[in-house]
Amino acid sequence: MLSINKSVLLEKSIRNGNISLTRNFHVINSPSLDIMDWFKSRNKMKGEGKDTEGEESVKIVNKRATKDLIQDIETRKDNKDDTDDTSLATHKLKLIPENFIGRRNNRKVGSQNKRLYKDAPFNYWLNKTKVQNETELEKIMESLLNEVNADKELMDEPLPDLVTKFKFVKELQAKTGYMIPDYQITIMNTPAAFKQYYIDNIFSGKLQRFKESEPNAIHFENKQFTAPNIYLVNTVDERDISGKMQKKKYNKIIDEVRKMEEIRTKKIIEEARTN
Amino acid sequence: MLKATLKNRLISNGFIPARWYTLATTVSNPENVSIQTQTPILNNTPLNKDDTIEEVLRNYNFPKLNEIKSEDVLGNNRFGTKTYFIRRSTTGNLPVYTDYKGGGNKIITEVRKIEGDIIQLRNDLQEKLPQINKKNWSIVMQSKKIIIKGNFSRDIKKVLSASF
Amino acid sequence: MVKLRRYQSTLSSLRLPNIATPPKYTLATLRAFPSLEPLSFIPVPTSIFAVPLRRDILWKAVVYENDNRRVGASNPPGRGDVGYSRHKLLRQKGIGKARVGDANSPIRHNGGRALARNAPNDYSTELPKKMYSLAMVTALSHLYRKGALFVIGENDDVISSINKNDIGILDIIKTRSQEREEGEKEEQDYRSVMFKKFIRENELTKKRLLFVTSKPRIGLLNFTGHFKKDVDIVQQEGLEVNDLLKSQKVFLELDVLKYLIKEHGRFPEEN
Repeated sequence: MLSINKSVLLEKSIRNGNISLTRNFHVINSPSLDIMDWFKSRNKMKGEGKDTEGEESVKIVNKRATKDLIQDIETRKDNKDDTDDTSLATHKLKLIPENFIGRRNNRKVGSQNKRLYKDAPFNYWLNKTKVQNETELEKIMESLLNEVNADKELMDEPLPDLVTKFKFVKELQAKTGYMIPDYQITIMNTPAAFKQYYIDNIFSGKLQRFKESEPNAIHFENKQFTAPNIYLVNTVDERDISGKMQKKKYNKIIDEVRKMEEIRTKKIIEEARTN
Repeated sequence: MLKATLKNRLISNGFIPARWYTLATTVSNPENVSIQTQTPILNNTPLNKDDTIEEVLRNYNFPKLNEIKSEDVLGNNRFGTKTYFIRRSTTGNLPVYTDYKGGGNKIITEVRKIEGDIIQLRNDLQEKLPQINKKNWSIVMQSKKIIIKGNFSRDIKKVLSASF
Repeated sequence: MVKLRRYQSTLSSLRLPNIATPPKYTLATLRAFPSLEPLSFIPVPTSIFAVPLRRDILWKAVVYENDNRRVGASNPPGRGDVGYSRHKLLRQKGIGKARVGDANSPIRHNGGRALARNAPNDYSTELPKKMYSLAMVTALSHLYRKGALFVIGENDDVISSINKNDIGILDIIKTRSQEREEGEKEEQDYRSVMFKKFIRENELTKKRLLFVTSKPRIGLLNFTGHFKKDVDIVQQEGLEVNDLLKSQKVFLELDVLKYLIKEHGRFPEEN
């Protein structure tokens, strides 16, 4: 951020007590700095004799009495193009990123960070392409069972011991691309149970719809209710459309209606005129 | 003799109260660290000479996957649907208690420490104890207790001691 | 007088029919950090991770913790502190209004507070240790059932070996660049982006996370500053029921789990 020294950052962090071992500790490398720190740093730099780059400070060259100043103004002595020697010399602050408080030199740092993020080594154990439907899942399960030298008939038989269960479950998660919670893993014993879990939760869309703030939410679908006197408003399918799209559509309809109304009123007026 | 049978039953159920541990030495001379216990969990921990007894007791070690039977794992048992279990207390007694409420007017018997299907347990107990009116039985679902109006602790303990 | 005794039938007929032994363990997967790759199963006692949900006990523990957290700084001025003089404002009799003494009186809106508290105030309450332990264990079980609990660690007998990009503790350390062996490439410091990668790859953006460590992990503390609004880092001794309930995902180290089992677990098998 600008040309503030690292020492200022450290001082500020120590002063704020950010280096502490009490609860809720968040020691951060870049504590939030405000306008006073900017000024202080500038003063420091001036004291050290560094050249503040890119800025021309506001200088008042000659201290004159207000009366004289007023006289000058009244006689219209505007010295716009003169150099520093003139009496009313005020230099404007250049609008470059360096002179803005609180604004980082984002461009370079941002791109550096992006590359760092891309290159950072990470263990991608879950498959990036997620399983989409039942047939793919069946294929994956068959191949897994073949690895364990088991037949397809063993879909309904419980997995023999915990080590094979672990290997099966881990490979299943890795190949399908979805993580299964520990409790479900403990409860399910047969490969068929795992398959059913996928069908119930992932292929039906339950996992996608899950909202942390409403864990016991109930989602209705039009298929569930066939009676003619039941109307479902704001169903899952409708809700999946974002609010923005809904608003757009609504506004479009309203616009069309308004236009039609205008045309109608015009017609009525014209008819009234002719008659 | 009764005490011996009780102890045997406890050991078979896996309950070993703390006072049955015997320590060869105290913390003051940690050189000869040897703990005589009957607990499976502590037997798993590796004893280093440098560890004090406190440190050994502090480190809990998980049992190995090979050593676990499948019935012990949640989900394999089908426990909880129409089946139940009553644990004994730390001292090894049955969890049947009496309480005198309402200034001594209302005497109740309470069965605690119930796991599994509590309604099935109540039904079975009612069958075994037909002398107690069915109206007197009530269940507190939140804390899983069976409460019986009147003092029937002896009868209930007779039934439970044959089973748990 | 002969006392008639009703002899009950033999012990075997008294035995209840539907008895079964409850399960002893549930399985938790031991994972690596930051990829959350499963390394092994660990059998955790059911008295820790499979306790039935008891909302009333959780409530008690939360109230207890919140009470103990209170600072008790309320210190309003009483009539001795407000500072008006003792001068009697109006005559005792003959005004037609109520009698008035000095301006400090708590009856007046600008007077002192009646029976004012004096800081520091102690609002701490007590809760039986066993009840608090049960609450802690109930909270853990609830999180486990929700699928919000992740145990990170490395055992001696893990089934799949740990990846070179992962570690077995909740920490962000300097990993060696892959090309180090070939050329003289500098060691790149990826620590500043590791946590962001962890969050994004595991779909944890904007979720309230809790990390419970056994020792102070300086790497984790330093490089999670950007996420401080959503991420809470706590040491095992300072873990509270409030922390567990407020977070959406909880990450425990294996040592932390052992510590919690020792502190709050009740083993019918052992004791």
